[in-house]
Amino acid sequence: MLPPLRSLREFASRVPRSQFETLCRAFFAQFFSSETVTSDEQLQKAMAGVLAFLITPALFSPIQMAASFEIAAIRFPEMLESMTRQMATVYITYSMVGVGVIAAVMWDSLSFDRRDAMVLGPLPLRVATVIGAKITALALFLLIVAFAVNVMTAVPFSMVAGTYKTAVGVARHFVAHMVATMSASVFMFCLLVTLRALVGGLSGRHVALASLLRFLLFSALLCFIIFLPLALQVEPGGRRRQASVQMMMIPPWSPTNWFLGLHEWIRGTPGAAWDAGARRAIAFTLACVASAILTTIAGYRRQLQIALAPSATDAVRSAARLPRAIARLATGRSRLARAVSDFILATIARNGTQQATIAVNAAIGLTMIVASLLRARGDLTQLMRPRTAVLWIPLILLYWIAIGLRAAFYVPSELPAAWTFRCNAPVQTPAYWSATRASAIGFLLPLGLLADALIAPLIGVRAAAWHALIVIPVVVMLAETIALTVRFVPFTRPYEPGHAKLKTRWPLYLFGLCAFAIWPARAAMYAAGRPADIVALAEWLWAIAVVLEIIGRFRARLWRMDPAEEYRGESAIAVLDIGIVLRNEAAT
Amino acid sequence: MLAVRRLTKHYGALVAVHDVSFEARPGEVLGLLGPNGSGKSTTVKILTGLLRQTTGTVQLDGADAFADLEGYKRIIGYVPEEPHLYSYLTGPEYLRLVGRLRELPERALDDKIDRFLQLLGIYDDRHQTLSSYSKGMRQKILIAAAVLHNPRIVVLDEPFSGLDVSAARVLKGFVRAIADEGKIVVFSSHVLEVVEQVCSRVVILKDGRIVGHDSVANLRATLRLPSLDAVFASLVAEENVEERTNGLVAAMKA
Repeated sequence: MLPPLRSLREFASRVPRSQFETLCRAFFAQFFSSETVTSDEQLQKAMAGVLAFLITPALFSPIQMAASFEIAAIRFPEMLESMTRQMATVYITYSMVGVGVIAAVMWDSLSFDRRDAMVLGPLPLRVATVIGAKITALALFLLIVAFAVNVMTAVPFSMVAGTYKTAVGVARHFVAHMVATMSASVFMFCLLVTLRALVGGLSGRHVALASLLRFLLFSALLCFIIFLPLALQVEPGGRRRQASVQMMMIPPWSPTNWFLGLHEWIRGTPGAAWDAGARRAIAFTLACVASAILTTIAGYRRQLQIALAPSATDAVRSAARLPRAIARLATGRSRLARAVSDFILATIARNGTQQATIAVNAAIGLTMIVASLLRARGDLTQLMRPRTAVLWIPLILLYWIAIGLRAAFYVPSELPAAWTFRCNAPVQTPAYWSATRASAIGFLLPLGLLADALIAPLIGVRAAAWHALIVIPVVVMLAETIALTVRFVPFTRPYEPGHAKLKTRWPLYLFGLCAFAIWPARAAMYAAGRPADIVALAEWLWAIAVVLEIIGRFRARLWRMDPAEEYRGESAIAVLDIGIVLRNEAAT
Repeated sequence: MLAVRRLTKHYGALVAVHDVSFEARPGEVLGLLGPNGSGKSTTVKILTGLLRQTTGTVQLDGADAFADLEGYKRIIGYVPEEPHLYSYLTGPEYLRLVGRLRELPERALDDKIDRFLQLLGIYDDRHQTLSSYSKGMRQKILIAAAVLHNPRIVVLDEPFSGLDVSAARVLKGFVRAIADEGKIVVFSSHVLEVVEQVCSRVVILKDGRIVGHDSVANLRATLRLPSLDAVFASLVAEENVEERTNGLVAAMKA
């Protein structure tokens, strides 16, 4: 008979915890906590959502492939090995990208930071205990995540691909799949831990570098999901033609091929190429594990050093000079609006949390662009002329960056410091609207023009320059729209999870995509080559921007700084003015 | 004159401040004293307009100070108890933010910030972010931010926390000097020696109520006690100090 849960808990509470165990638990808990989100429960829900998003496609894809494998086993048994390898390639890539994305989400917790060193430094702890606990927590987290991601594919895929084999064959397939995909996950995770430790030791622009990595990893995951159906093409056979499974070429240097080699080596597939790949996979995985451990050790020492003696290189130069200059033009002579727009742009330039929100949304934009470009199927000549799929590149990117920017406004930066505004700034002034609109223009305009410049090699400098006439008013329209949908000084309110309401408002986001990217790109395509039409189109877009500006000026009177005490959160915890956290009795 | 009349503040069932009345006059430094949880910080936050009182009024020159909250905020400078600042900004950037929020003229603001940084001894750290500042340096930034606009009322909540001896001496003199300039200064602190040196009158709070309100000299004379420390101990009635001290030692050894 099982002992009651309560007695087990009592027993566990009586067992003395070692320093190592206590630290290990604390480091592990860091993966599931955030200072930005007021409710840990909401954060855990969000994480469960990310995991579900990652795991679901992997769970269903082997089941979808079951019929193809059945047909192949009956009619084209010689194809089974090839199909198995191609699917294994997909799952190995998925494993690396999926774990990479999770590591990117947990970026700040992957290594020690200055605060860890400041808190743990004075305590009577051996350095080996601290580092050992951190590495153990990381390993535990990796094992849980990698196992959750990979076992979902391993079980159904072994069953599907192994139905024509013996039980030993199925078991061997399962082991090969798990070892290859778990090794791939370990490789990617350790690579990112190494990067995190190295970047954390650097001063200066490490926040921007971390955001860039997040952008790349999220883009990689989303591109992988949309790329998969195009990369893997199963042609059913007919009376006169044989069935075929084709996959896009993966270069031999790619880590995916090493782990595929490991997969095949464990399955017992003969071939020198597999053996070489397996050797490389093992060697590189071990090297990455070793480098992750070494950089974690070095990272702790470096953080201790930084905590005790801040480096002179921590000095910062003026943040986001160009966006600030543009924003100043847009704010006019209002000192208050300039102060707030400078604050907004400096916050974005120096805070990873805000940048991550923008990076994730920008990744969605990049994925949409890649998806549309894939239609060209590698034929670049198709893209070397103005066409919607090319002209919308800057507009799609801008739209998603604008969505990210708006979302970032809702994420607080150092909430307790918001007293600065409550104490020193007016409660209600149109300057807040003006500053938000100006900072959005300042932030989006350089990015829009840069994205427009990037399409110049495809459509020519002249066409890109004409297209800039469309991009600029779209930037202003986006900034005006953002300012219409926010009514507070950005970053000064507690974050309310789920404010984006994607489940119910997705048609609105879709409409925005059409209004700010697809329709202007189509109109630009229609006007391409006729300067007068392009100017006319730009004039129309400016007219819309002016209308939005007028509405904005009218509504600007409603903008206000929240009175400190009147925040009403749905959660049981409400963060009040200067960092006082009180229980909301009504909620509890 | 800043007059607090029958001020009460409730947090749900908890009464943080109960029926508190006092006045702060131009040219004097009014000290707010009290143990932790006595309602000092709540009173200070109500005085600065950050919190709304449940009942009672705050009057400036006989009129409700919060009737024109914007105007009231324009003439008040505040140093909070906790040095919460935007740590990713540099010292001058933070001061510029505050100065611009108060709509000070740009050129004069930059000159003023440079002078404050030099006089407070943090000019050499002007390119560092506030995250790398010590507590004392942050405190200096808060003090500079509070007086940047030459306010008529200055509310200081533990302003010398983390300051070194030399800086604390300079700033004690500064607090007295701004009071001599005719400003209304409210000074909340736990440090009795500092209050005794700086404040003209003190209000002593306990459990949200006023238990003493007079000049330091009068309080000492009335209670026939040698120091403010003794007056405070007598009024706040720190019961069984010795017993609690011994209890702490025993707890430490356990």
